[in-house]
Order: sequence, then C-alpha cells, then structure tokens
Amino acid sequence: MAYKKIIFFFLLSTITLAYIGCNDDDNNSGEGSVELLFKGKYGDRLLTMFEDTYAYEDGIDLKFQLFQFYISDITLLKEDGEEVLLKDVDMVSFKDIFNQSDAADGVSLSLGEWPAGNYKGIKFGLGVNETMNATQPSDYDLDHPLTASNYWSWASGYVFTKIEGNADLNNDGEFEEKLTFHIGRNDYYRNMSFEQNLEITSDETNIITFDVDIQKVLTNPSSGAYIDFRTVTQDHTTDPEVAGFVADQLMEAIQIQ
Amino acid sequence: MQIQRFSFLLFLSLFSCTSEKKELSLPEYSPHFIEWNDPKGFVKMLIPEDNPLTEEGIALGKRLFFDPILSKEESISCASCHNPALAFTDGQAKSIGFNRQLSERSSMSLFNVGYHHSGFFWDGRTKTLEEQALEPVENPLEMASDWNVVENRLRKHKEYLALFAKAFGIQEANDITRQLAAKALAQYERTLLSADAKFDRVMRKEEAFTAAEQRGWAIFFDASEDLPDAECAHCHIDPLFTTLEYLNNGLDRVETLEEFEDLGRGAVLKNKYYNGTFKVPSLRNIALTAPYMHDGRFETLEEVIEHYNSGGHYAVNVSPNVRKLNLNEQNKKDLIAFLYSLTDYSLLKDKN
Repeated sequence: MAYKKIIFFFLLSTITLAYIGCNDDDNNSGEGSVELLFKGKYGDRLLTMFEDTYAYEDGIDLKFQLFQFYISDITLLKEDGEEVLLKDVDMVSFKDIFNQSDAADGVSLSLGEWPAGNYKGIKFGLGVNETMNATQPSDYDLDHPLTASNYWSWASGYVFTKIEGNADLNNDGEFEEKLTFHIGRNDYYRNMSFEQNLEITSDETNIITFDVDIQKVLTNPSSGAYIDFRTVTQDHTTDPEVAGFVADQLMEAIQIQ
Repeated sequence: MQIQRFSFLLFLSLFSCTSEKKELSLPEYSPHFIEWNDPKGFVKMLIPEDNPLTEEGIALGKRLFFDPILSKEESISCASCHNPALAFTDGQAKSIGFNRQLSERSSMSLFNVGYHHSGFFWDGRTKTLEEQALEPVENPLEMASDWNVVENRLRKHKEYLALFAKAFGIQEANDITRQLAAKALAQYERTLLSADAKFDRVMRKEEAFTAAEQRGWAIFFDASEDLPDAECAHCHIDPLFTTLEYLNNGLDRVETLEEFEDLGRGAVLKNKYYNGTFKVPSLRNIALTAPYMHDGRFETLEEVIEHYNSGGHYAVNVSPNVRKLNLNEQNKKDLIAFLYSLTDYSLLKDKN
C-alpha cells in the first residue's frame, strides 16, 4: 500500500511539474498579437489634422490636412538572426486624427498573431518595395492598402508619402498657401531598422510604439535645412532635391519608444 | 348529409384549384448565376454574398428601374433622374422629383457604381447599393412614395410575382418585399459598366489619341514636363476617374466651417472638418452629365475648368490640391478634348 502511495505521489508531482513547465513555456511558445502604434507629433506637440496650428520656420504657421506613408516588409528580427515577416505592406495615415484625444490614441496597425518570444528588433521599408511598386491596384482586393487613390497610373507606381496642408505666410490668420508633397518612385524607398529588445508575449496584444515627428520631415535640425514654403509649396517627386529631402527626413522623424 | 358531402367536395375542389393555380403561376426557381469579369485595370467588384448576380435578378432590377410603379401616383421612375442617354443623369442642376419638386442635389451618374466602396449619394449616407436603392422611393422630394404602398402594388401586379419568383424563388405574392426589390435594383446597377470609352481603347492600344487629347491627357495626369499640371488626377484617378473620397473643392468661400449652405458629408459624419465636402464624382462620360457639381452650378465643362484654374474659394478644409493652375486657353481646350475621350457609348441607349 505504501508502495502504491509513493508511485501515486511521484506521478502527481511529475504531472504538476510538467504542467508548471508548460505554463512557463507558454509565454515563449504560443502566439501573441502584434500591433504597431504610430503617434503623430509636431516637435513636442501631438499632431492633428485641421485642428491645431503649428509654428514653422520664418514665422510661418502651418495646418495639416493629410500625412500618410506606406511601410513595407514589416519584419521582426530574432536574436538568432532569423527574420519573421509580419506583413508585406500597410499604410500609416493620420488622415482621421482630428483632435488631441485621437492624436493621443495614435494610429494602430494590427498585424495578426505571431510566435511569442524575444526579438532583438524590427525593420520595415518606408514606401512600397520595388516588387510591389510594379503592381497595380487591380492586382489586389478592394480593402488592400495598395489602392488606386495612392497610385500614379501614368507613372506606374504608388505615392509612398503624402503631406498636405496649408501655410499662413503673413500671419493674417488665413491659411491660403496650399501645400502638397507627394513622394514616390523606387529611388525614394528607404529602409529602417530599430534595434531594441521586443518581447512578444503569448495571448496578449503586444504593442510596438513609434513617434512620427512631421516637423522633422520638413526640417533638418542638424543642418538647419528646411523646405521653404515661401518658394516651394508642392512637389510630385518632380524635384529630386525636395523628394530626397522628404524621404531622408522621414527616416529621421520615426523613433521607436 | 347531402349538404355536408357537397361542402366537402367543394372544399377539395377549391384546394385542388388553388394548388393548380399556384403551380401554373410560379415559374421554376433556377437562377442563372453570372460570373462577373472585371474590366482590365478595375479592382475586383465587391458583390454581397447574399445578393449574387443572376440573369433573373438583373432583369427584374432593370424592369423596376424603368418602372414608375415605385413612385407616388406612379409618376416617375429611377430612369427619370438617371437617364441612360445622359449617362444615367438628368441634365438638371437639381433633380426633379414627384410633382416637379426640386431635390436637394444633382443626379449622379450610375456608371461603374458597383465599384464604389465608400458610400453612395453625394454625402455617402448609405453604405451599400442595396441600402441606397431603398431611399429615393420614400424621399419626399424624389419619388415621395411609401414602401408599404409600393410592396402592395408589386404584389398585385400581374407580372411582378413571376419576375420575383424567377429572381429570388419566392412562393407567393406576399413574399415580395422592398428588400428584394432593392436587391434586384442593386444587381442591375452593378451591371452599368463603363470601360470602353476612347480612353480605355487607347490604354488598350487599340486606338490613338488625337494631338489635342494627348496633350490634355498629359495636363490631366501631370505626365509632361512641358505642359502645366491641372492637378486633376489627385482626385479623379483612373480607371474610375474618382478616388471616391469626400472633399471640398473650393466652391464657396466660408470664414468658418459652419457656414456652408449644404454641409454634405459633414452632416452624415457629424464632423465639422467634413462640412462642405462631397463625394468626388467620376469623370467618365463627363461630357454628357452637365450641369456639374453637387448643386449643378456650372453649366459647361469650360466653367468647371475655369473654376479649378482660379484655384477655387477659400475655406479651411479646401483640398490643397485645388490650387491656381495658370492654364492658358490652348491648355483648357486640350483638357476638354481629353475629357471628351471619357465618353462611353456602349450603354447610353439602354432602356427597358
């Protein structure tokens, strides 16, 4: 009888330990949902469309109507060097951010369920990668991010980044100067990589947060260069200097939290 | 006893007659499903799973579309404001409804409406074509009718029972509903396709633009460094020639966003930044759809181009893509030549 009791407790202990072991493993072996959260900023301030006025260079005031950009090949980087592609392309758009509350919430991209574990970083391209940039909106379903409204049919490519807004050049309270910057084409595709420990926990929503500072897209604090809205109010990727400036500065504008 | 036996026989014969009549009046439900082929360059059409296209459904929808039975006193049909000969518009600044009342806005063309995914009407107040089809019937400025009345008319009509039975497999007249009528109308509207204008044939390399059309194309799409950019394609991108967005194109100067006479999309979303914005209309068949804008304020394409050439009027939410253009007279003529190449004659003679 005593022999049977010993076997019974041995089995019970084994099962209990195995169960605890499994639970420990679950944090690193199951899947967790991954979201990228982008918070629009103008310097230290939250970015809103229409609502707020932002002080720019030379005493110019700005209001924004649209700020959006594509990101491609969103990939988690494992510590062993393996890469986990989360999504081929998505759009970060602040179009519907109308007030401080919306701005504080940010723009979220849900990227589905991915293996839990520790990752050493994340990378993505700014724009639409060359392969996808050779496709057309009709290659995709209607709800796909690569839509006709961001496609140049005559130039066979997508508009990677759009910045639209208005400037008040003479501080009379009327934002009459119209600003449209539409940047595309493969030359202006940029790769970004963020090295930071990212833990994806199973059965949880794992949010990776980025700040996007539109002031840095338009100005370069290091060099002092900026887009002078007194002379340049639009670019459809026609001036390589302007298009390149926006593409390069967008990289500077995005910071992982 | 004799009476009882007679009554029983009478009952049986009535039952038998009823059954026989039912079998004779209702055709077999064997719909012919249509496999829809999207034209080259078009995004896949979203067809609701509960309303697949069938030959019978489309035929019923077409019959309803041209039938004044939907309106008060059976006075006007959908086609009164959506005349195929005018690219499914009506030539009026604001549509004329029952008893010659003016509706609030201009009639929109229905071509390629099956590809619209951002809502219907100028303000996008309905999400699906099926929902859209219900509304004009009871709009007091349009058909001014009542769906209960319309359903009764359809149920009593000598032909509609069979048409609904063939399209949707209904069993009896009382099964005819507004929802089925709307489904049929939506099916028909999804077939109103424009993909064979000269523009399309040029894109397919079957034809060539004239020199003026070619210059107009380049001005429209900003495709030449030697010609000015008319900024059209930001909002009127092919193949639909609309982004289906809701934008303010600078028609009226307002100091505050509350001042618009017609709030448009803003009233639907309850968002002041959408006040004065309207759905970007398709430019397909634009030569046939005058007058222009949601209120028909411009009678000619020349007036429309003059408006955009001026840069429009100031409001905080005017699209920045509406800006002073500096087009010269030749540029304007070329642009109009290109716009005429968007005319598609293939469905203009459609009638019931």
